[in-house]
Amino acid sequence: MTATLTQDVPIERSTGYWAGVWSRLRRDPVSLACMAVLAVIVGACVLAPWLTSHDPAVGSVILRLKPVGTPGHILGTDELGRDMLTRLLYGGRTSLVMGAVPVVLALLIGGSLGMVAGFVGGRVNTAIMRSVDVVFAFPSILLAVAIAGAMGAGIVNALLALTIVLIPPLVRVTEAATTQVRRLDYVEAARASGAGAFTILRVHVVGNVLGPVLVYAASQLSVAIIMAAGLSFIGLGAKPPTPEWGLMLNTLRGAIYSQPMLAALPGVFIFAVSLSFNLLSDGLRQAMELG
Amino acid sequence: MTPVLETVGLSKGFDLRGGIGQPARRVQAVSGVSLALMPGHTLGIVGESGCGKSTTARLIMGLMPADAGDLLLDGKAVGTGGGAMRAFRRNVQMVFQDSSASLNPRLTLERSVAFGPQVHGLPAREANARARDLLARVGLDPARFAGRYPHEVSGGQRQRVNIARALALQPRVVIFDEAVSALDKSVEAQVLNLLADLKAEFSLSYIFISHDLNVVRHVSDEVVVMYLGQVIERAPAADLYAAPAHPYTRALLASMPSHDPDRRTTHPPLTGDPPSPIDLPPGCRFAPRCPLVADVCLARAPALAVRGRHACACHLADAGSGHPQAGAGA
Repeated sequence: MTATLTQDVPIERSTGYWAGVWSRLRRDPVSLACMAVLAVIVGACVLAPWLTSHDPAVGSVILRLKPVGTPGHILGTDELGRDMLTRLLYGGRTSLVMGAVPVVLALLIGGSLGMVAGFVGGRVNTAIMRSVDVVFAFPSILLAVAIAGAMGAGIVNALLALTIVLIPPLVRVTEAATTQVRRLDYVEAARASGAGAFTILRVHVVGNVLGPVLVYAASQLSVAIIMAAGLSFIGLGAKPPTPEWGLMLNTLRGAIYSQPMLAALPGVFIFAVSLSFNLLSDGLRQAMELG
Repeated sequence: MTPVLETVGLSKGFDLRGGIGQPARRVQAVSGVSLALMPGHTLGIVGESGCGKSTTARLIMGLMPADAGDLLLDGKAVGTGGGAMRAFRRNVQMVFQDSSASLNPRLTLERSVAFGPQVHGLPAREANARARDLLARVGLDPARFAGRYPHEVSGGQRQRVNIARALALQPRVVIFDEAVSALDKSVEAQVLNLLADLKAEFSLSYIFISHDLNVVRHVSDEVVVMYLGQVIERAPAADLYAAPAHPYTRALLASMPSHDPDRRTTHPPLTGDPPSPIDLPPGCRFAPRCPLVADVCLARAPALAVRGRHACACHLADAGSGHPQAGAGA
């Protein structure tokens, strides 16, 4: 056989898999709305220093618990007279990082472990999956509280606790997907062509496992944000005066009768972000199924 | 002439884990299979589902380790080391039955074909060029098909891609494991013609595994009949179909549909399923279903007796076996 003329003939290219998923996702109004909500909230949090002129840590003794709509403080002020909008945006930075980082870490660690367990099988699989089952025996929020409590309050410890809690389900989802792919003939054909385990994983397994795992990770994002807020709420996450949605819910508890709107605001943000990630993961799954 | 590919006494068993309170058991999938493929020939392997045809193919490809037996390429034993296995795989490739499961849905057809050569060190550009040449050779216009994904083409087209992929490493032997069984009859015929052309063009040798006796007869030079993991008869295709020696082969041929009334055999068709390959009893494995069973068949397993180019594992074919009808049937 010779390398001939066919090399440079233009070929018809089909849309790739991810391009197809994106174009289907774009046509789903719910997913589109979720993406818009997330883009606005995440964008505002990232750009917080340029969007507000207040300092999130500086309050005012006379301007405490002003209602929503106060001139100069669009979303009012909290119990120490700090601007609510500023605190919500800066707090979003903490809350989103506390939710997203554990999911990303768990995706990397749990995904790798699950892929190895599924691909190698046998005793390696048993060792990894049974270890994971031990962690599974505890309810996840309880385990996160226990770990964070044992390590002491603080953002980093809360991040680690959430990561540990999120790893087992990701291992399990990845392992299931990998085991399924591993048995397919194209993996056998790749082995028959003499490819090493790492090449097969990279070219033939990762791409086919990634879809379901990403969908699952997106849904875990909503869980992680709620759990992170929960840890801060009970004092095991962010510490005052760091703004954080869960912590703000806690400190504004006292104002729930006098300024219910104000007290509910951090909750509204947690709810909006968490719901958006959840619905987006549903949309993503549907967009992937049609491929 | 030295066979291009030879197996000697290939065996493979699988352990079945017993339930609680039950002992673990062993399925003997392949027992002592010896095959020889001559250069330029097609070796057909036939048998019912579960007779060990596919396991034999996977053992040859090294997709699972054999319990016992040797693999010879050009008369030389294939080493078990990684390097020896890689060299062997350049020479022997396989086409699988399920055309959709054997192509990665996330790769374009071109990349699927180019993957093997790239693994063996060909630069991406040359591997892609080879892939396009091969796609063209199996009848798929590269301009239309190279950038497509498996789900966008038909089953017959996918199987052509699988053939192109097997040829991409420029092998000398290709194993077809039920590779045309799932195709429409008209597509099957086209693919079979393509296989014949490719065989001549690239001087290939084929191992053709199928349950379709008509197709095997059409393509094969020599045919091996397997039953419960053993080779029970082996003969040149014409001989085997004209004068089957083993009662199982006769029954198999009797079940074969034919359009020609003169060719229809009158042997009784086979009834029942093959016995379970778990904990096989001594004696002939076909004895429980054999119409000509005698005491000796239950007591002692017949060896593969070679007579000229025709080999058969049956007490009937061996005059000294003690079978009452020995010598009369064959």
